Amino acid sequence: MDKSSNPPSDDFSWSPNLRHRPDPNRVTRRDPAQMLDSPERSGNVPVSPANRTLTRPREGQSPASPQAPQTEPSYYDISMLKAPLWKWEIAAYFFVGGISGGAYTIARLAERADKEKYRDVTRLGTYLSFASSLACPPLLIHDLGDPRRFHHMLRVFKPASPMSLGTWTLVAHSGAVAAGVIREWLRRPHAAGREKEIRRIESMPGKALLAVHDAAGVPLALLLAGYTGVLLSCTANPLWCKNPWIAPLFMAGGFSNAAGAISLALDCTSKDNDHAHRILENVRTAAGVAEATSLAGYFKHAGPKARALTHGSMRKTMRFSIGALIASEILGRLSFAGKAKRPVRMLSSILGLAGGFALRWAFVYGGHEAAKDPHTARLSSRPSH
Amino acid sequence: MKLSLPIFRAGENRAKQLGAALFETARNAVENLPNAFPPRRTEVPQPNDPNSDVGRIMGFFTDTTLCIGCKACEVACKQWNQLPSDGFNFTGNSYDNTGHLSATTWRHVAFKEKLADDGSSSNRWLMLSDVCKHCESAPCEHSCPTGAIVYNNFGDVYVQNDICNGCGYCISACPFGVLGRADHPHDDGHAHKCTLCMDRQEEDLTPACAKSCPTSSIQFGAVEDLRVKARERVEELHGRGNSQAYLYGCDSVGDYGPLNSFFLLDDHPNEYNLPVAPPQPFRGQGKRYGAALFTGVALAAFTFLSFHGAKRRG
Repeated sequence: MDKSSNPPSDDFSWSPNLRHRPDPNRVTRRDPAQMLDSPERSGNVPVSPANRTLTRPREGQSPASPQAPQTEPSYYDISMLKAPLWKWEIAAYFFVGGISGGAYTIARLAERADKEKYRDVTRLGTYLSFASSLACPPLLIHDLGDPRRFHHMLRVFKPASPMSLGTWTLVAHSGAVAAGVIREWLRRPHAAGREKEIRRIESMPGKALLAVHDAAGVPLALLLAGYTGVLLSCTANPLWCKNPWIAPLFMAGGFSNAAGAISLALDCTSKDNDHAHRILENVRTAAGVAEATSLAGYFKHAGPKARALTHGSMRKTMRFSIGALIASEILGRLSFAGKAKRPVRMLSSILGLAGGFALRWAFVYGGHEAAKDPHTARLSSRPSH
Repeated sequence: MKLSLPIFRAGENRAKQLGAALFETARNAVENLPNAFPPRRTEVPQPNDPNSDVGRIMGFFTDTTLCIGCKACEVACKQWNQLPSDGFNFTGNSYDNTGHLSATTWRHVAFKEKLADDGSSSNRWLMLSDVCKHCESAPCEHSCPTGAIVYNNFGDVYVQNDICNGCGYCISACPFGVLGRADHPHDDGHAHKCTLCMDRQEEDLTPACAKSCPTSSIQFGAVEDLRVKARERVEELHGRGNSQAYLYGCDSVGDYGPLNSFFLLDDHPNEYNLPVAPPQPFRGQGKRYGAALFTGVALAAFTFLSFHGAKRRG
């Protein structure tokens, strides 16, 4: 057994909760068998004279760029960039955070449009937003490896860094959503004997308070749904670097996922809400159009730098995501009568949510592949960008 | 998991302390707001600014034509900064067994053996001692959410390890792939990189790598002096017939500001694993926020009108 893999635990009492996991950027010992079997060493691949090096570069190990030109100058095909350290927690956080922001916005807007008629949309949207905002800090803490580190994020407010702005937005948004939950709780339908309190809330000072709450809460919710895209685009990673379309994509995705989730929750809790369903479906379509536009813009802006999504390991995830989003849209638009209506609508919502999750998954894990691939890494540092 | 928030001092009124902490946080927030959407170049310490305590901005000039690949800089760096071993790896890439800069490798000597195209004997051996570039406008400093990465009073980019939170944002933000996170069982899980031997500089000592370099390939000094020296060196090389020599990072490249540790190269930057034109990821950050919020507001308006219009109709 390797002794170094089992360090004595009493050595570092200062970080009892810190999880350790392998750094994807670590240079590891190469497999000797792989070295012997590489096509170039066995003489199958002609080496162009311009790129003759005594110690050959590691060709054929970058599946994302099978057509990388052989003559391109490179340092042994080692990527000049470091792979991101963000894993599934961050993909899940992007998804859940988007739902939280979108659901809260939809709930508040429905309430502003008609308090009584869309009571269910408001209530479920707020609760859904609350539940998903509760899920965010544990995901981030799991990513950071220590609960104290989440607290340390809040010792400084540095809005120039999207991550700091985002952490503060998440905290403020959670507060706003908690206040929204209290509002829903006070207005709950079976609050017998609470008419006086409800009337008090709806009287003038209460109204002003609610207006202030909405004026603060909705922008925070929008920022929570959108900042994640800015966070990604402010990196040197080829897949994300300076791409202005990621933020609108995540924002639109937040809206469509939230509309789908609210529709699903409505279907699960009550039988008859066709009217609200129709409106949510319209919202989902509008958000889907915005999502498709942003995705097209994204691919146009990224060009060959998006190889990880178009040709790499995230190709299937991306295909599934786009397919699921389109299928959910079609299913939602099909009009079924009678018993089939509700299951089809639920299936459509679930498909949309799965597609949205797969999209974020592909963006996070595609970033790993893009940074590890030397050819794509070089592309992101061309003078034209 | 045990959640402990070691923010309270013992023996004092907790409510008072909490109030003070909240006040401090709010004051920070207000003071930092103007930086939310910064101008084209983030503010960097300037020696001429009477308010800053920066003396002269110090940096490295690494002349690759003088490098003999002895790795003395790597060893000196590891020794002085007490960095752990990276293991006995064999990469097969000439004499380079480190591969790239990392959390525990702050100087990395790159080796590239190049055969002449025409089969003549003019084969070349490129060697470069790579290091953190100490960018004048550093994306890692900009990205750091806790303010752990700062410009120190020598004008260089410094990671304060007691403040670093290990979020990994700087690692994605660096266009040179310099930063790494120490993630092994005995490590602290923080980001690490070259400090330009800040501790030695405070004692008026030359950084360990420059001190140990036997051929003056690594030169340390005030950046403005080094730039003059470097330009003279390029002219000298051109006069001797080496027309390929050029300076990398001495001036701005595209939208990327000059580097405080810059290089004299002899070949294409990619041969040394350096980007041709590093992207400045934070340029245009405000526009991206704007695009996101525009989409959000448009969709919110559509949502409200859908609910409102449907109410009227139905």
